[in-house]
Amino acid sequence: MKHIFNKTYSKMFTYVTMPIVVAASLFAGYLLAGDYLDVVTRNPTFVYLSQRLAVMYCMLTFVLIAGLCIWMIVANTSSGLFANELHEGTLRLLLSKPVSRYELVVGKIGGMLAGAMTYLGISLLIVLGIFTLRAQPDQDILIYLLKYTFVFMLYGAFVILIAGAIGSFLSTCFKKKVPALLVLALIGFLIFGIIPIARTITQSLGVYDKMHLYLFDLNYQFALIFNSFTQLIGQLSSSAGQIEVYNVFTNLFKSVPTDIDITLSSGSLMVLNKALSSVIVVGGYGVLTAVLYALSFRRMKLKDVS
Amino acid sequence: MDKIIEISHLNKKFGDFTAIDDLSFSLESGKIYGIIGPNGAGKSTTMSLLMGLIYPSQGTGTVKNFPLGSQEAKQIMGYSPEFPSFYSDMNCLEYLVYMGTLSGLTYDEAIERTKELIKEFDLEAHLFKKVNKFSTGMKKKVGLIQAMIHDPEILLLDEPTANLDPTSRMEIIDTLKRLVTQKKMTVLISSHVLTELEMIIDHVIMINKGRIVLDQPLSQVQEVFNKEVLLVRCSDNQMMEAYLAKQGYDCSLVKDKIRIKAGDKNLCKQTIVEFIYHNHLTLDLLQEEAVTLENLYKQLVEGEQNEAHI
Repeated sequence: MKHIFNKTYSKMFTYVTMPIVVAASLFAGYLLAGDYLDVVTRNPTFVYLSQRLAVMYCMLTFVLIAGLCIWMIVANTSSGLFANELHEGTLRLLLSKPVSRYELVVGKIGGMLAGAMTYLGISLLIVLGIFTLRAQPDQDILIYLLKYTFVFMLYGAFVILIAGAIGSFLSTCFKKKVPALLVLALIGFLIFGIIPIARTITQSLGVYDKMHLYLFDLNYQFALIFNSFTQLIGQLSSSAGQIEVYNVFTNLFKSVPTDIDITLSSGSLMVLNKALSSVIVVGGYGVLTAVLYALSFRRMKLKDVS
Repeated sequence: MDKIIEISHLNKKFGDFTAIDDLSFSLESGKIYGIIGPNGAGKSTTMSLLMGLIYPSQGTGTVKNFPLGSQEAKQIMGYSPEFPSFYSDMNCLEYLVYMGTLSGLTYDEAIERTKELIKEFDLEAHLFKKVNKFSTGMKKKVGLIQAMIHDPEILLLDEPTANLDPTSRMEIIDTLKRLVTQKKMTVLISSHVLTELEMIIDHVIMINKGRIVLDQPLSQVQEVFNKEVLLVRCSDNQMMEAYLAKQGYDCSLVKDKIRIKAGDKNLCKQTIVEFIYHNHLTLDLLQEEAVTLENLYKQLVEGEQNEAHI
């Protein structure tokens, strides 16, 4: 099993994906540092500065790092995990060796998950590294962001597990990688493209809540999961403008009517959007992930490899 | 002799299509078995069943008392498919070492064995080239090497010389013969090149439409089928054929030869010679038909298909 694990793991680091992840991480680190340098000149309080950076870091991680990059890597690898070998015919010789179907599945999925976690770790390391080099922040700010980094690793692991489960299962259903990859790409496109736009439109029309569209809002559901992890550090809050931008991608907050004095002084009051329970969402995705992995194993166990 | 592989009433259906129909045979340790049959007969399916790559719809089988497809069974088996496929990102050495480690060898053992077998199959100059860029013949050799890398007791070779030029075929056959004899392996080899197969096998299994048509040692097959058939050619074949038919012999004129199924070959020969003498004919050919796998195949397989058409 370790040989299959090692091969799958090492195959993930290619001349295409590595530069993309490094470039995206450099960009994110640069943006984060830029935001810090912009704010720090105005002598902000520690609370304001840390919260502002936290929101920015969360946005970059949710959308760019754990979102686009990791989703893309996991989708690309998991969709071809079994389909590639079936299509190319290499699975026959692999299974002719004293390798059980269980070892094959665990080795491949394990290698893929480990590779994706490595990418996530490298990515966040680069973001923090560039931020530190460019912004030269105070130690307290750095420690604060390190805590968020740890939490992002946990969230990233969850996304990797979910995307890996969908990809692995699809890989056992199709004989080629392309259909599975297309499905995953479509889901990614929905989460990071179509859904935020559709939500903005339906919310402005007042239709979003009426038709309970949050049940299909994958973006919001993933943001709830993200928030479950970031809440370990503390509830996010920042300037209204920054929260609104964050909210476009996450729909985590909604504005509520308040006393006119508060509205006049701070513009609006944003509270956590509790349309769905985060416990149920995390639990639901957890169960779905487990079921998909179990189905992947079962399908590979029973498959005729001819 | 120990029975190393035993299969009993194996059936395999793909949807409505029955690929293997009530297959039962056993292989004895240390012998070379040839499995022959037309395209689609079920040879590759049989090998896939033995390797545990596909599951039987019914029936059972064991490899040295281990179930088909079990880790223990695969540990003592090596398999080379008709069209071996390789990873595009691995060179020859990397691939063979990888397959060696999957077979249970340590990294160092895998490297040692790879070097030994690469030398045997004359691939030393290509060790660091990407395997999927190899020619067909070289890929076949790599397919054989990965099957033999862990010194298995049993080798399953599916068309090891298919689509190769005569020189490459002879190279592979010679190397196989040498290695198999040295290691006393049990081999099941399928091939359409029956003349080559005859050179190396001890036992023939003929399969058609998923069923066994013949399962006998080659020496017995030659003895049994050799008993009866004489070939004759003379200056008037038609006259000879008519005479022999009148004498009660089952004969047929094929091209320029008369093929006679003679119960008593000596009596038949005498009859022929007398006829030639009395009718002042010239005898060009009088010989016992050598039973080749090719003839056997034509009789048993193509004969069956012709009957089915009738």
